[in-house]
Amino acid sequence: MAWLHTWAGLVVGWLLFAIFATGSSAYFQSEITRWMMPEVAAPPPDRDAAVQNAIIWLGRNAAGAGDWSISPASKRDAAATLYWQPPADAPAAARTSARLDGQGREVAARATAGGEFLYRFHFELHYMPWWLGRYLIGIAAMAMLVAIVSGIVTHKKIFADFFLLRIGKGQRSWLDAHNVTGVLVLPFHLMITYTGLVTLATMYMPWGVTANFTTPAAFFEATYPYPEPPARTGVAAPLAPFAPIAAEARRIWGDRDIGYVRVLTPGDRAQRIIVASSSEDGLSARGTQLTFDGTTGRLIGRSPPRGAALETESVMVGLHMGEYARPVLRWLYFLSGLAGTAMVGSGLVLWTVKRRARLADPARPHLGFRLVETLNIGTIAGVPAAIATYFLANRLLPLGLAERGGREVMAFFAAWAAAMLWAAVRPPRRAWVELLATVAALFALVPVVSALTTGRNLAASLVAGDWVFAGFDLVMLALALMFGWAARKTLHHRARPLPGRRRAALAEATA
Amino acid sequence: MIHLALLLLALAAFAALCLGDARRQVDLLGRKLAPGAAVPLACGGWLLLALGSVAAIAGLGAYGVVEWTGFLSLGAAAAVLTLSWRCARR
Amino acid sequence: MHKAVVRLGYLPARARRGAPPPLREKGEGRGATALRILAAVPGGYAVASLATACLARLIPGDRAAATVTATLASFAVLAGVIVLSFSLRSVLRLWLILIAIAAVTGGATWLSIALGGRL
Repeated sequence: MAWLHTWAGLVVGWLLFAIFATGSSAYFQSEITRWMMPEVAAPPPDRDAAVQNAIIWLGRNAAGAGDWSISPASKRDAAATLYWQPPADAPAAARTSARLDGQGREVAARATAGGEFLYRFHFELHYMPWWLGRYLIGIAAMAMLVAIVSGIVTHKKIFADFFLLRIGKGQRSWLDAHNVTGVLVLPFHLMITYTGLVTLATMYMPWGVTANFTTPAAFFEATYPYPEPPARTGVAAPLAPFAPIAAEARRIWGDRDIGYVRVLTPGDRAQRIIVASSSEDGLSARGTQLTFDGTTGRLIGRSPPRGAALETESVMVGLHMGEYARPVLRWLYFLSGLAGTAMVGSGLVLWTVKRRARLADPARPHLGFRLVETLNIGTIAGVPAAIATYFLANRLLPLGLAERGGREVMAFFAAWAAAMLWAAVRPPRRAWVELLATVAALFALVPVVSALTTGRNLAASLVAGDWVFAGFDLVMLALALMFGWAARKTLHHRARPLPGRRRAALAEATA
Repeated sequence: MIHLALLLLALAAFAALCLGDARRQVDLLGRKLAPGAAVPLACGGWLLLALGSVAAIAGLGAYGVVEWTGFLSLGAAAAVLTLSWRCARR
Repeated sequence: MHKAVVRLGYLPARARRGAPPPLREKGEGRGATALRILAAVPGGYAVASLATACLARLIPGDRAAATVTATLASFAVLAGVIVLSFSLRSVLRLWLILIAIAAVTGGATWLSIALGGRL
């Protein structure tokens, strides 16, 4: 069982580290995006006005499109996001999306993928077909679930004598760190892993669908139909005003606000407006959709109520996404994710610490050991370095650069690759110290570079009560301090070979 | 304010559970408490946990359950880190 | 979903004082471990898939809801099979159990589809 825990964790550990690190950041993806678009002022307060402005903008700029999708800014976003389906005769490179500010004008901000890149990376990776990324991450998530269960089975006595759990000194400290970050936040780890699998369940385990439905489309039609735009009648008609529709929707929902709005076949008498409730207002992520006649503004349909099974799935997805979380709980989610990142990282290091004791010649380890050690250093230092570099690139890349968003993402991977390369060529001890110190420096630079290039520095943000910017800069500084402390500890660390008796005890404890 | 109350309940609960064990009393305080103190402390700890669970559900519903679970991790972490710190100084 | 009761088939290594514990079960070679991995990963996925399909057919009520219930439970089944693969003492018994579960659930699924059809 311990063997299973070790190998299930090790084989996917580096990928899991990246998933946990970027996934944790995703709980603040709106704030990260706002920080990465400093030109955008405070978010628009009035959701109905935002939708109406979006409709006006789309009427002018996407009139031929048959399908508009409007996501008004949530409580935490900076701008409304618009998507539309260009008409069939539009050129291939036609625009399909836009961001609008509170006044309904297109946001004039730097092109960036924002916090959404980090969020998407944690379930889809990058530079590969979307399905490949999701499958790889699914495998990692399944291995994580096995690691958790086998970890619990192996260490069940920790629950009997809970307060034996502590962080000690010396060779046991990596095991202690792994146990503490694992056990103390165990409910979160179990929840996040299982619900993560559930969010893409039909992709990983499609056989229940196959058993009951001849095509997957039939299943999705039965559970979450996605209405297609109705055929044009050819009779032009203006779209009904949105405010009364919004009021009716809120009255029907009771406790939820508007999540997104779809306009089908706009400008034609057959037009429809579909209003979906927001997932910020309750644990159940999947909302209710109300369909209104776009010309008269009358309610003509609503999504059917969900039974227990579908509601369970909806709550599980909601728990994972955490969109319902208010600030205190949102920080708990974020810190729990960081604890998970530390749990994976300490587990990876623990493997090398334990194996080093068994090496015939510690100065010349075999290839497998060297590979794990390099991947450890290159990932545990590389992923944070990549994240910091992504933020730095956002401030440093020229504003008018072509493919600017893509270049920021490239900087992320370039930094990770550089760290991995450094870890491969340098002796391990030196690589750890040098890379951890570099990560600290990179994070410390982020608020500095931001202040120099945008004029929004930490002091000004604190004075103005701008908690998004101030909070972001403070977290960067905190991470810099943490990695700086880690670099210093590694520099002063003296790896003493254990006396035989204690080495046996360590081996027994981690068997 | 219910959020603060729940956090304090969780911290108090784990402190009580920790002190409800004679060996941990030595770790934390350097000495044992009165011989009859362990059982009431442990019971008090479990009581506070139950109280917090009920308060979370009653006050905040399903949201409360999630937040309470998070506070439990914080309470446990506070106890574990305090124990580690006290033991390291010895 | 009722999972098979796991019997821990080996003594925890720390019960034996003195000698450092082996990485794998005493007496188990690479071949046995490989068979466990085969049972766990491709075998486990196959068993979980068949169990999911079977559950999705047999749970009464709305087909979509039954599908969702079965799919939600599937990951617990898969984790259970993987952990089982490394806790049963006998590799042979492990394979026999998995083949039996696969045969029963697979047969039931096929029969159910043949009789009832799909939506």
